[in-house]
Amino acid sequence: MALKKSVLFFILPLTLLMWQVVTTLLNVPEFMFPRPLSVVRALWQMLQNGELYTNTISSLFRVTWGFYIAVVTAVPLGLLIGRQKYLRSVLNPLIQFLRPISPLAWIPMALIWFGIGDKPAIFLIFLSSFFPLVVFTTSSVLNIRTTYLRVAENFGLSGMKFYTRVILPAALPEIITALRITLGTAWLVIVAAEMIAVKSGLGYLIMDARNSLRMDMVVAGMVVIGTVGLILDYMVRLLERMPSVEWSRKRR
Amino acid sequence: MNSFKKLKGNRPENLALLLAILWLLVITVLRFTLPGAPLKEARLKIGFLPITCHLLLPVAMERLGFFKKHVLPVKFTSWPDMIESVKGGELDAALILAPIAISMMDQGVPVEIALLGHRNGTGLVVSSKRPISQVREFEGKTVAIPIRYSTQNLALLSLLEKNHVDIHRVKRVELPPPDMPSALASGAIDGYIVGEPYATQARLLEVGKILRNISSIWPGFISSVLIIRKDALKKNQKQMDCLIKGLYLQGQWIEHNRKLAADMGARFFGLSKKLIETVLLSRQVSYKNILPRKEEFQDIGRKMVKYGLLKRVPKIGTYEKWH
Repeated sequence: MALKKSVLFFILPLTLLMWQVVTTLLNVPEFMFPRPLSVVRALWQMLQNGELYTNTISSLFRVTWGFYIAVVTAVPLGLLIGRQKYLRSVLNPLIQFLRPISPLAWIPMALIWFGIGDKPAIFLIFLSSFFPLVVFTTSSVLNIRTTYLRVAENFGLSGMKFYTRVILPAALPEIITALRITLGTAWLVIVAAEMIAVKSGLGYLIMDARNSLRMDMVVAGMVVIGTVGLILDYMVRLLERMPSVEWSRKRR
Repeated sequence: MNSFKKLKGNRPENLALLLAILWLLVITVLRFTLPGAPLKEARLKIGFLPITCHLLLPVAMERLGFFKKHVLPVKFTSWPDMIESVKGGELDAALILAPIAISMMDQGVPVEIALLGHRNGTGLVVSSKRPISQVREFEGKTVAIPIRYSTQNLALLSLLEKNHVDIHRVKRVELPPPDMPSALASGAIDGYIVGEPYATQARLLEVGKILRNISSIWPGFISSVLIIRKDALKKNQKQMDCLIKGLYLQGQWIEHNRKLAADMGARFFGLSKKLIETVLLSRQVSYKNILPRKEEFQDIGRKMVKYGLLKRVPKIGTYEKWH
């Protein structure tokens, strides 16, 4: 708590002040690095003409859909792969191969397959989250203590029940951590995804500001992206406080 | 932490799931109630970039009812994205660099050239700090071009050759035009060749000066052309003809109303009015004589072959039946 307060009341204003003083003293031209005051002015302007609202909603919409689709497909797949040895030996090499490819490398294909608008951006977000989520989920299943599995066996649990009663709860803490990491990545990728042919979103806002030679608006866009990213992270952090997740931390 | 537990009872997971689903609904509803949400009615989609070579479009959008009703302009920020959207069939028409159009024909993309964007309107810019005064001095230097498949690149190469500069000793880098002035200011590049307004912009920002206007290198220079997809034409020839004709007529209007046209362009492109006005009033750009002629494109094609951008000149398709 003390740390948070010191950031809010001391470090943040100090950084802004330094930024303003240094850029003014060195007389850095606005088109190289804008001053905080002009960034605030740009933010205010975007707030008033509604651009801020429209673009934030568009970005959040794309991230939500892309990320949700990834979660509902990747987590079950990861649970299965973690349990089934033959499935693992077949799919793992493929997933490990596709995982390190940046979603941005898919941009050309995304454009040809999905055209312009929301769909290619959602597809890129999906890719950015899907592969890491599968890998994290698989490894969290593999990390489950054998004691739990033996007990489940003794109780004669099998099929669907085995997954919902034992595997998922045991793997949940690690899956939630994975969700937090991948959501962060998804939010990173949205900016790049929106720099391709869409007409809205925070990535588009930055790209458009750059084309109109408005560096102050570029930085204002960055500020908004950072703020929304912080809020998203905070929301997922709340999930880590659920008792069904927290038990693993307490155990350690 | 405790308040969180109290809030959620003893099954916070259910509440978290509920909230997650609720969020999905809320954000989706918000997205589709936004002003400017996706349009249902069919419109001709035409791709463009914010450059003066594409000024015909904003002027037509402002002046013609047909465009307001039936045309949907799609703004791009880079050529490769636009290329992919044309190939994927997402766009019905596009204002695109002539060499890109030619290489698309070579690859079998069903497109035809219907109009030119404008003539001239490109400049070779050098840094004002360490100015290059002669073309020969480019040897060993770095020059930015918009993309390999541009007439700007071809013009630079022929200019260098004409001045007996070894083209392999000039480093050419591809940069998005808006980044060029700041790259020049930071000293990352020594010069660049680009379509307006990004040449004039360096001059207004006092980071560079124009060494040569394109008209002195390549008279009647063509930068962008209007291409149309043949399948879109077949489906909707009447509207497509109106689109081409509308754009064509704006060329004549711009010639006589440069100041007004600059104002429309600046607003539509989101660029500074002073910048566009300076470009248009300098008369370095011409919107006359914008009907496509096959010989000119064959000439560009031959240059592309010469510099290794194409294996052979493809059959150039132009569309002329609209007039």
